[in-house]
Amino acid sequence: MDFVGENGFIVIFILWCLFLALTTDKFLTPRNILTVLQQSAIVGIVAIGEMLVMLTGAMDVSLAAILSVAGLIAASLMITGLPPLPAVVIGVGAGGTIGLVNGLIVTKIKINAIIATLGMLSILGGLALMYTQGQTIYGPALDSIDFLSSGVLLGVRVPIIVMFGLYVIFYVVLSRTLFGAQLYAVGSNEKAAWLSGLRVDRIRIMAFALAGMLAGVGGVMQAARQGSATAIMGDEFLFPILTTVVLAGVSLSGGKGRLWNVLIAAIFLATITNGMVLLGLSVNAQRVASGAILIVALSLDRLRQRVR
Amino acid sequence: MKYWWIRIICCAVVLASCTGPATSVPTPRPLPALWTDRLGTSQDLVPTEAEIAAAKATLGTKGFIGIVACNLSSEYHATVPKAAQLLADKLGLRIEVFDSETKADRQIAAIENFVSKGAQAIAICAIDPKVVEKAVQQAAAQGVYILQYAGRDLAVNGIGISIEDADLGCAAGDIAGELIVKEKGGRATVALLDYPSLPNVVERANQIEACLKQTAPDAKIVGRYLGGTPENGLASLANALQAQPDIDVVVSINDAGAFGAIKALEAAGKDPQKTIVVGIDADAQAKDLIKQGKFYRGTVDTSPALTGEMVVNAVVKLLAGSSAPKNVRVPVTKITKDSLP
Amino acid sequence: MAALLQLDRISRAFSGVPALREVSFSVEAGALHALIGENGAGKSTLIKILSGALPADSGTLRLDGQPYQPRDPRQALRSGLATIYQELNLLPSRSVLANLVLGHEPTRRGLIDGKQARIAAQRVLQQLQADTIPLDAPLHELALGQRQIIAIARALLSDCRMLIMDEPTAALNSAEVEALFKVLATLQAGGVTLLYVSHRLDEIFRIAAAVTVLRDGQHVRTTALSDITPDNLIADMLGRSLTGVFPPREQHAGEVVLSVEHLSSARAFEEVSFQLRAGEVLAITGLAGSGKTELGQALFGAWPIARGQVRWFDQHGSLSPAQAVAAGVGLLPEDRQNESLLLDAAVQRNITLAVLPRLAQRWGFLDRSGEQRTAQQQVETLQIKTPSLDSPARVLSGGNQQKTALAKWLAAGARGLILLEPTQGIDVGVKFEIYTLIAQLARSGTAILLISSELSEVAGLAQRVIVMRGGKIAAEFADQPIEVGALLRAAAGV
Repeated sequence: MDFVGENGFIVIFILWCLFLALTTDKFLTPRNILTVLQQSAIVGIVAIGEMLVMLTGAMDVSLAAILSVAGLIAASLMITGLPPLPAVVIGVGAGGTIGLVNGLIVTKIKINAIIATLGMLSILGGLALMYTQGQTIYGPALDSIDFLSSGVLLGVRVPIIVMFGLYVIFYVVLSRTLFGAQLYAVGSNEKAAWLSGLRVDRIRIMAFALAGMLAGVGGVMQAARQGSATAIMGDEFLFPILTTVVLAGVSLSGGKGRLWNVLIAAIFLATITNGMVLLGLSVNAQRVASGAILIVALSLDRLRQRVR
Repeated sequence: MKYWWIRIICCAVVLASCTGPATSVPTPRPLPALWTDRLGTSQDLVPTEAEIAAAKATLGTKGFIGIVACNLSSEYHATVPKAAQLLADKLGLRIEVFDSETKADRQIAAIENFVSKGAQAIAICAIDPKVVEKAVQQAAAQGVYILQYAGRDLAVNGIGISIEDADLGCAAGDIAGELIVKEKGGRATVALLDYPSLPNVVERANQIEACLKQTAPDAKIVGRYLGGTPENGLASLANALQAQPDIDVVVSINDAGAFGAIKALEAAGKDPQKTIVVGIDADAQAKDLIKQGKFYRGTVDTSPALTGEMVVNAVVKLLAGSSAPKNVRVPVTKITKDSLP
Repeated sequence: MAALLQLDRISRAFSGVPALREVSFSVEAGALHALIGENGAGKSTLIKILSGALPADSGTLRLDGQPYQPRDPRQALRSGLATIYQELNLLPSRSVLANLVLGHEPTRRGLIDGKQARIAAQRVLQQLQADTIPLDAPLHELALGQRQIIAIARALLSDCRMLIMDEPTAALNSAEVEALFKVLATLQAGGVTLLYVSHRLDEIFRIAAAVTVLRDGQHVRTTALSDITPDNLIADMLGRSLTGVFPPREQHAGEVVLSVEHLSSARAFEEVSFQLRAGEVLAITGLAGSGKTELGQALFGAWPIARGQVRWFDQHGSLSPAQAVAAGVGLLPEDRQNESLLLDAAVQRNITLAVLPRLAQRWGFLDRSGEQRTAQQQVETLQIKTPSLDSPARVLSGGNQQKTALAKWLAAGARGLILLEPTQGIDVGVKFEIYTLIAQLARSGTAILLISSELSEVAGLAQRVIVMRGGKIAAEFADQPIEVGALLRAAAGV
C-alpha cells in the first residue's frame, strides 16, 4: 500500500495499460508501443527541463514558445542553405540562450518566475509570428534532419534513443554530480543553501538555461517530425509539459522530484491519446476521458499527502 | 485604513477616465441599399473611382476599417488581412487588424474596442457566430457597418463575403471521391481529419463525408480523428493506423493537418502512389506536394487574397452608399495536379 | 491548599515506544508550578494530553476534583484549561483585536459584534496592565514579548482556570522577560493556576512555587522550590550531577583574523569597530533591537552594509555568504529550521553542504564514499544522535539538529565561526556539549564570535564581551570574571 501512496499515478498507468491491452488487440503490439514511445519523446525531453527549473522552486511556462522559436531558427537556417548540423546546433543554442535570459530576468531583476516566463512566452510568440507572417517554413532542405524523427539506430527509432539518452544523462547529473546536489538544495531551502555558501543565483540561471536548451532540442525534433516549422507548433506542448511534471509529483515549491517519474508521466500521457484513438472514441469523448483519467491519477497521488 | 487617501485618488482617476470626452461614434447612417435576390460575385464589388473618393470622404481623418481575423498563424487567415491591407493602402484607406488567436471570446472585446476607437466598418471572420452575435448587433446599432468573411449570417447591416464551409468540404470530398473511383475502382478505407471545437469546421467535415459518399458510395469511412495542426494530424493518424492499418485515403479539413498525416503515412511505409491525401486551403506547401505527386493529391483554393480584396471593395461600396449584393460568394477552386502549372 | 490538577499514573506510548510511564503528581490551585526535564523527557507529550490534543493510554486526570478527559482542545478550553505553545499560534497578518477574540468571537445575529469584542479586549489588556498595546495594529508589528502577552490575554478571555505555558521566555530578551513575569504575577493574583515549562532554572527559582521533574517519561520528583537547589534539579533531570556548566576558560588568542572598521548598516547598527583573534571567544550581547543579530549576519555577508569595512583572513572586497565560506568562515543562524538546515535532506547531505565543491571530482561527479566518510566523522566527533546518515534532518531533536548545523562548518574546516543564539531552545545536556565544543574549537585556534542574549552563557564562555545598545557598541568587558549584572546594566543602559 505504501507503493500506491508513493506513486499513485503509476498504478493508474498500469491499470490503464492493462485495460487497453484487454479491450483492444492492438495496444500491446511492439509497433504500437514504439509509436507511443515516439509520441512521448518531445514532451518527455522538454519536461526534463521543466523539472530542473521546478526543482529550484521556480516554474518556466515559456518552454513551449522556446520550442517553436528554436525549431523555426533551425529550419530557416537550413532552408537558406546552412548544413543541418550547424543549423541544429544554432537552434538548440538559441533555446539555451533564451533560457539564460529567462534565468537572468528571474534572478537579477527578481521578477517572479511565472510572470517573467509568461511575458517571455508572449514576446517569443509575437516575434515568431512576425517572422513567419503565418506562413509555414518547409522545403526539401528539411529532409536532412529526417533521421531525427524517422531514423533508426540499432532497431530503435532515434527520438526514443534521444529521449532515453537524455534521461540517463540527467539522472546521473541530478543524483551524482555537484550541480544536481546543489539544485536540490536550493529548492529544498533557498535561504539555508545561500547561507551555506551555495551560489543560488548561478545555480538557478543554469537550470533555466538547460531547460531552454532542452526545449531547443524539442523544437528541432518537432521540426524534423513535421518536416516543417511554424510559429505556433510549440503551442500544443504547453499544457502537456506542465501536466507531465505535475503528474510526476515534482513539487511546485522546489527540492522534490524524481526524474524517472517524469519519464513515466510523459509516456502515460501519450498512452492516453493513443488509447483513445484505439478505442475508437469520438474526439469529444476523448477530451472527457483524458481529463477524467488525469484527475483520478492525480487524486491517488495526492492521497499519500493526506495519509502521511 | 492607513492609506485611505490612495483609495480616494484611485476613485478619482477611474471617474475621470469614465467621464472623459467620448471618442467620436459615427452617427447612425441609413441602411445601405443591398440587393438580396441573388448571390453576388467579386465583380459586383469592384468600385468606381467616384465611389472610392466618396468612401474616403466618409471615412474622414479619424475613421478606419477594422478587420477581426480568426487568427494570423495559418496561411489562409493570415493572407486575407494582408491582401486587404495591400488594396487599402493602394486606395488610400486606413485599416486595423486584430488577431483573435482562434479564441471566440476575444472577438467580442475586439468589436467593442474597434467601435469605441472610431471604426466605421468592421469585417469579421467569426469563430463562433453565436458568441459574437450580440456584440455585432450593438455595433450595428451604433452605425458601424458589419461585414463578414468566411461566413455569412452575421452581416446584419453589411455584406457577407462567404466561403461556404459546405462548399469547401464538398469540394474536398469530391476530389477524394473522384480519385477513389478513378484509381481504386471505387473502394477505399478513408480516414477524416476534423476539428470539432469550431462549428464552421464541423460543417466542413460533414460535407466532406457527404460528398465523398455521394461520389464514391462504396468507400468506407472508418473514423474521424483530430486534425487542424501538423502535430495533431501526425499523432492521430499514427494511432489510427495502429487500429486500422488499411487506411489508404485521408481527407482533412485543412492542409496543416494533412501535412502531419503524410508523415504518419510515410512512417507506416504506405505507398505514396497508392495512398491519397486531400486537404483544404491551398497552402503553398500543399501545392508543392501536389506537384510532386507523393501522397498529396488535391486541395481546395479558398482564395484568401481575393477575399481580402473583396472585403475592401465591399466596404468602399457601403461607405459610398452604393447598392451592392448583400451576400457574395467567394469562388472555391479545386486544385489537383492537372490544375497546377 | 487544594490541588487543582491531579495526574494519576498517566501513560502514553507511540508505536510501542513509551513516552510517559505512570506519571503522577498534582498542581496546587493558584500556584505557579514549573515542569522541567530534558528534551525527550515527555514534557510535550504531557502537555498535549492535558490540552486535549492527545489521549492518554491509561491513567486518570482530575480537574478540581472532577474527572477530566478532554476529547479535543476545544473541550479542554471549555473546562478551563488553556495552553500557550512556543509558536504562540497567532495570526500575524490579522489585527491584535482579531487575534484576541479568535475562536470565541462575540456574535450578534450571526455577525461578529465588533463593539463587544473591543470592550472585552480592552478589559483584559487592562487586567494585564498591557493596555498600551494598540488593538488595531497588525500582529506582526508587535515585538515577540508583546505577542506573548496577547497570547496570554487570549487565554484569559476564554475564562481559564489554568494556563499551561511552554517555554514562554525562550525567544524573549531580558526586558520582555521582566514584563512577562509581571503579567504572570497579575494572573496569579486573579486566581489563575500556572503550569510553567522551561529550561531556564534561574527563572524558575525566581517565580515558581513548586517544580516537577520528568526524566525519560517518568516522574522523578515534585517539590517546593524552597526545598531544593539548582544542582539537585539538574542532577534529577540528567540522572547525574553536573559540576560546573561551563568548561574552564583559557586565554590563547593568536593573530587577528577579523577586523571590523566603522561598520554601519541602514537600520540596524552603526560605527561598529573591533577585532577578533584566532582562538578567541568574543561575545556580542544586548537586548532585542540592539543590532547584534544583524551585525552577526552582516559579518557573513547576509545583511546589507552601508559603510565601513569587514575583513576576514585575507579576503578582499565585498562580502557574500559564498565568499565568506570560501574564506573559511561559517554562520550558525538563529532560526535553525528555516535558515540553517535542509529539513528534507539527509543528515549526511546537511553536514557536507558547504564542502560539496571540494568533494566534486572529474566532470562534477561527487565522491560519495568521501561524502559518507566526512559525515560519519562529524557524527562521531559531535555525538550526533540520528537513526542513520540518510535520515532526513527533520527527524532529529532540536539539539541534534543544532549539532548537525555546527558539523557543517566543522566539516568545511571553518577557522572563524559566527554563532547566533546557538543554544536557544536546546536542553541542558546538549547545551553543555556545545559549550565544551566551543571551548575545544577555541583551543584549536578557531576564532569564535558568540552572539547571544543569554547573559550567563556569555559571561561563562567568553574571554571578551561587547555589549550593544541601540545599534552602537555600549561597553566592552575583558577582565575576568565577567559579571552578569554588569552586562545587563550596560545592555539596558542603566
